[in-house]
Formats: sequence, structure tokens, C-alpha cells
Amino acid sequence: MVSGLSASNEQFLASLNILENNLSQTDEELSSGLSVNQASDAPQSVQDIFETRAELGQATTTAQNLSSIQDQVQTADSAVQSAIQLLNQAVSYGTEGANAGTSQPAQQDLANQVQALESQLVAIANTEVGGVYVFGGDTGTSPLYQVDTSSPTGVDRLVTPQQSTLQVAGPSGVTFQVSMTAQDLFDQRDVNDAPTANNAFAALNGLTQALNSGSPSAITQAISVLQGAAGYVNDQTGFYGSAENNVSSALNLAQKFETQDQTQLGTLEDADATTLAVQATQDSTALDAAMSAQAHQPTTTLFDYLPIS
Amino acid sequence: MGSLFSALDSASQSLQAFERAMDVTQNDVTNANSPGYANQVPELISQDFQTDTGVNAGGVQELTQDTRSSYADTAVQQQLSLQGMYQQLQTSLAPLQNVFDVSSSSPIPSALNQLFQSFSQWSTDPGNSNYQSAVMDAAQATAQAINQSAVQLSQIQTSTNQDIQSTVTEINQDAAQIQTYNEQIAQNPTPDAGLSAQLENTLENLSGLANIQVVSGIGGQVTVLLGGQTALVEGNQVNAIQAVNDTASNAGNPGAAPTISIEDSNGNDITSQVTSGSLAGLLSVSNTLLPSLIGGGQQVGGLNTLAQGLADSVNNLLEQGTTSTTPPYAAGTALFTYNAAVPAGIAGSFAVSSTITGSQLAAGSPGPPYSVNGTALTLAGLDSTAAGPVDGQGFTQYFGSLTSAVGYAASNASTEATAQSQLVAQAQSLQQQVQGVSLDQEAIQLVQFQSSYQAASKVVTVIDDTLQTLMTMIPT
Repeated sequence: MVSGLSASNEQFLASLNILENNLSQTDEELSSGLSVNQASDAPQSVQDIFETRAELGQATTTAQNLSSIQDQVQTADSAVQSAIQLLNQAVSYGTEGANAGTSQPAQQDLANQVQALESQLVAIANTEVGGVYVFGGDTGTSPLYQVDTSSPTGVDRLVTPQQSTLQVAGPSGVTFQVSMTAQDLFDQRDVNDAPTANNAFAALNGLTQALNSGSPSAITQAISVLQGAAGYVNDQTGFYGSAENNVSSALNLAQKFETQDQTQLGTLEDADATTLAVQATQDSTALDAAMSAQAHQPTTTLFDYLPIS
Repeated sequence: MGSLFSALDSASQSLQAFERAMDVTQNDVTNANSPGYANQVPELISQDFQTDTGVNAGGVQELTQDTRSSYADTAVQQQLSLQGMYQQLQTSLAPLQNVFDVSSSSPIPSALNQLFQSFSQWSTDPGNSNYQSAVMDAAQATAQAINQSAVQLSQIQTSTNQDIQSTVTEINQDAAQIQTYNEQIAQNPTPDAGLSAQLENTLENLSGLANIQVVSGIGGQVTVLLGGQTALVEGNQVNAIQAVNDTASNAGNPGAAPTISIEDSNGNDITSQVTSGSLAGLLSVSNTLLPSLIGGGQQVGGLNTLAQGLADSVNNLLEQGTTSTTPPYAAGTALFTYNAAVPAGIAGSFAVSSTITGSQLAAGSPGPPYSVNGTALTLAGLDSTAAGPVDGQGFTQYFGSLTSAVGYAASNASTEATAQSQLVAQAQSLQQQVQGVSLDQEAIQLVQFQSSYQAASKVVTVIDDTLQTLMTMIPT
């Protein structure tokens, strides 16, 4: 004989099952710390959860990218500032050399110092951050210049001149430029590839040669050219100032987006421990009460009171 | 003397009637918990005094009444059908929820997230070989995640179709069992409570598998109609149904699985008649939900749409981009490949092109104006563009909509299954109130019948003594 459960027992078990499912769900949420552990927990929120996670990932990556870029921009800005100081120092040496009382050996000594400054400018042009040559343009992966006193500019280009078209994207999708090339800054040339008046390398080399020649007029002329080149480089600091501001603003915005996305994600999927604890207590109490009530249900029938003959 | 013998006969009949009544009660008690058993009530009817012959005076006759209520049984069967469907949906949707995982490590969204982040990182230094490798790795992980989901969905499809076949087999077995009961009922016109219980139990099991309508015929034989239209059992005849691949359903949609049709014994398509029971749940998953995800019938499937949208969007941008830094700008190379000839199998064939290397990724945009990382930047923002590349949505958003659809289906099935469990219990409770065995009532009846039996027995004893006395008064 197959024995079945009575309808009242079936009903009790069905109700018990609901309570146990509630408790199981509450346990899962409490242990995972998440209110959404599978799609059926909150199907209306699933799309938002995925999108918010993606946005958070993008904001985090953008912030990391901008942080890395910020280092490069700050280094480049410092390098340009150093270059301006260096050029001004060269102007001072030239002025000293142009002084009528300066002897020929002293002028040659000054020429050597200006030559040393040009070497430093070459080093500045070759500034590297994390393997990236910050003035290298679109393919800034190798040194750009080396000193060559026989060259009209005093330096040799080691790579083909590049343009700097790299755009940096902020978290809102707005893009901006953050770099200039060494050629733009220190090695300005005309369409025939001849150095222009703003060419800092050529200006320094011209001053070196003028000091070596000992001609006051040549030195004065070279100083004038160098001042022009220094002024040009000085003008370019505005670009880096602007770039630094852009990167800083974008970084702040990316970090703000990160915080917002984290908050949003928490709202969407984090479990409310207090509510769950109350819910668990209520369900547990209801379960105990149901079990207790069922245990007190009479299990005897009138057959139990019939006399056994 | 005639009246004494008549009284003895009446008392004897009463004894037999009370004995049968006690047998019925005993049977009720024994089967109180037997599934499908309906309480049998012994009814005792006084025999009329026949004035012409003087017989049957004071005698009783036992007629057993079956309390089975077709209304209560039908209510239980209908609720069981709905419960069967929702419980089956709940069971079948559980593995789908694993494929469309919502955790932070969910394969496809995680891979997509990683891919677009790698594009973003690459855009900051397009020539960086580490960043290029990261893009290739992320693309590979994305392809694997999509392939893996396609395989899992195909496995679920296969498993669901096997379940449909086994459910149809079970339906046919139940139908054959009911036909056997019908034959037994026909051979034995006397009502048999045990047979009736077995029949009802089988009908309830069948109800859980499919929506049936039971029509009781003369003598207790039943006709079982699937969906109220197709006869599964008619008296002694079984009309087996079968599940077949509807080969015409996926015509013109290469790679799509055919839908499953249910056919009657004459080969007619009766799929639309299956509206509840576990078979309906399985058909819903196999013919509607799974095709919307992995393709089937005339549907391409959301996962294939996602894979194609991703491949096309990324490839288009890369092919319009360039790896050159100076004119002439050489066109870039596609990153992803898939078998376009099999639209419903795109997720399965989705892969990273074997001919591309990291250094061939075209980060530059020829413009004008040219930008060394223009394409990489566009790729990085592809998932969050306002006019999304997949049905107007971003890739993550689109995958979210697929997951949400699965979630809604599972949530609905769970809610309905819970509600149906209560409704089944209520219907069973009503059924038990109408036709269940009350042990208290049976105990009272047993005492009554025992007392009545003893009284009738006393009458026989008194008549016997009287007859003995009379017999001794006759001189020998």
C-alpha cells in the first residue's frame, strides 16, 4: 500500500517550504553581503547593475590612465621650466662674454659652459617617464637627439620628426592634447628643414660659436637670437599649464564618477544587514511557531480509545 | 412458525449487512492514507415489511456509497497541472541563471568590461606592446566567455529536449496504465474503491505532466483528453502522443535548432493544446526562451546578436583605423571572426582572428585630422555610446537585458510555483473534506456496526432458543 500525506500535512509542508525558502534567501544575502545573487532576485535591477559595474570599471581605468598621464605632463612641464632656466642661464653667460673686459680664455670657458647647457637641453629633450619619451611625439619610444658640435644646430636628430596627436579622454568622453614634441619646443624648423629663429638648439650653438670667435658683435647677435628662442619656449609653458589643469580636472571628475558608481552599485546590490536580520528573526520565529503548533496537533483518533477485546 | 423463520431470515440478512458494513469501514481505515482513495460510506437501508409473505420484517440491506467527487478531483488535477508547469519552469531556468550569472565574476560582462578597459589603457600609449597584449588577452577572454555560454546554452537545450521526450514517454505510460484500469473496470462492473484510487492517483500524476480533461463514462471508465481536445485514452484505446523536431520551423535560419512539436497518434500538431503541466513548461523553455537566447526556429538568439554586434563594431573601427603614423595610412585588421553563414551559431564560432597580432591593432584614426590613438579611444567608449551598437544598446546593457529576461522568467516561475503549491494544498484539502477518510467517524461507525451486529446476533440467539423450546414442546 502506498501511503500519502493528508491534505492538512501537505498544506503545512507547503507553508513550511515558503518559510524555509525565505530563510534560505536571507541566509544567502547575509553571507554574500549582496541582495542580488541571481537574476531572479531582482530582474529589474540586473541591467543597471551590469551597466554600473562597467561604468565603474571605465571610471577606474580612466582615473589610472589620467594619473599616469598626469605624471608625464608634470614631468614635461618641469622639463620645459628647466629648459627656460637653462636658456636664461645661457643668456647670462653670453652677456658676460660680450663684456669688453672679458678675456679670450674666459670667453672660451663661457663657450664651454654654454656647450654644456646645450648638452643639458638635449637631455631635457630626451626626458623619459616609464619608458615614454615625453617629447617624443606619437612614437616616443627612443632617444630623440644627441650632441653633435659639427651640426649647425649642435645636435643630431636620432629619429624622424614626429607629430604629437595623442588625445587623452576624460571620463565624460571629452578629449584634449597633453604633449608637444621636442621639435615643436626646441628644434623649430621651416619647410626646408632649416632652423628658424625660435630654434633653441641652434641659438645655443650660435652663442657657443660666437663666444669661441670672441667677436662682441657676434656674441651680442647670438644673445639676441637666444633670447628670442627662450621667449618662444617660455610661451609654450602655457600649453602645459593648460594640459595640467585639464588632466587634473578630468582626474577629479573620474574619481568622483568612481565614488558615484560605487555608491550606486552599493545601492543596487548590497544587502541591508539590519533589515535582513529582522527578517531572519521573524521567519525563524514563524518557523518555530509553526513547528511547535504542528507538534501540538492531536495525533490520536477515537480508535485509540476503543477497548481492545 | 412462518413468522419465526421470517424473523430468523431477516436477522441473518442483517448480520451479513453489518458484516459488510464493518468490512467497508475496515477498508476505509486501511486506506485512510492511500493516495487517490475516496471514502466508502456503508449505508444501511431498512427492508420493507412484505405483508403478503411476511418476510424481511425488520431486516437491513447494506449499500456502499462512494464519496468520490469529480468536481473535487478536477480541481486538484487542474491545480496540479499548473503546479507542474511552474515547478518545471523553475527547475529548467535554474541552470540558465547560472549561465546568465549576475555576480561580479560573471564571465561575459567581466570579459567585456576587461576588453573595453584594455582598449582605454591601450589608447594612452598605442605603441606599448604590453597594452597591445592586454587587448589581445581580453579579446581572447571575451571570445572564450561567449563560446562557453553558447556551449552551456546548447547543453541546456539538449537536456530540455531529452526531458520533453521522457515526459512524453511518461504521459504515454500513464495513458496506458489508465487504459488498463479502464479494462479492469469494464471486466468487473462492481465498484472497486481500490481500483478507483489507483485510477485517480494516475490521473493526478498525469495532470502534473500535462493539462488533461477527464470525462467519466458509464461504469466508471474514463476518457482522458489532452487540452480538452485530443483523446489520450478512450475506453480501451490509447492514443500515444510523440515529441518531434519540427524540421520546417528553422528553415532559412542556418544553425538554429528546430522547435519541438507534440503530435497526436495521427501526426497532427497538437503543441498549442499543451498549456500546462511540466510538458508545457519544457516546451516553453525549449521553443520560446532558449531560442530567444541562443537561436532556434526563426530566431537568431540574443547571444548571437551580441557576438555579431561586438565583432562587427570592433572590426569596423579597427579596419577604418590605421597602424601607420604617417601617410599613406594603411588600413587596420579585424580583431574578431565568426561564421556569418550560420547566424544562429555566431556565438559558437566567435573567435579572435588567428591572423592578427598585437602590433597589428590599429589604434590610429586617419582622420583628417590624423590621431595616433583616435580609433583606440573610440573603441574604449564603444560600450557606452548613446546610440548603442546592439539593438540601440551597449554590449553590457544588451547582455543585461538578456539576463534580466531570464531573471524575470525565473522569478515569475518561482512566485507562481509557490502560489500553486498553496493552491494544490487547498484543492487537496477540499478534496479530502469531501471524500477523505475520517478515522474518528470510522471509529464511531465501527462501534455502531459492532453493536448492531451484536443485537442482530442476539435476535438470532433468541429465535434459536424459542425454536428449541417449541421443538421440545412437540411430543415425540
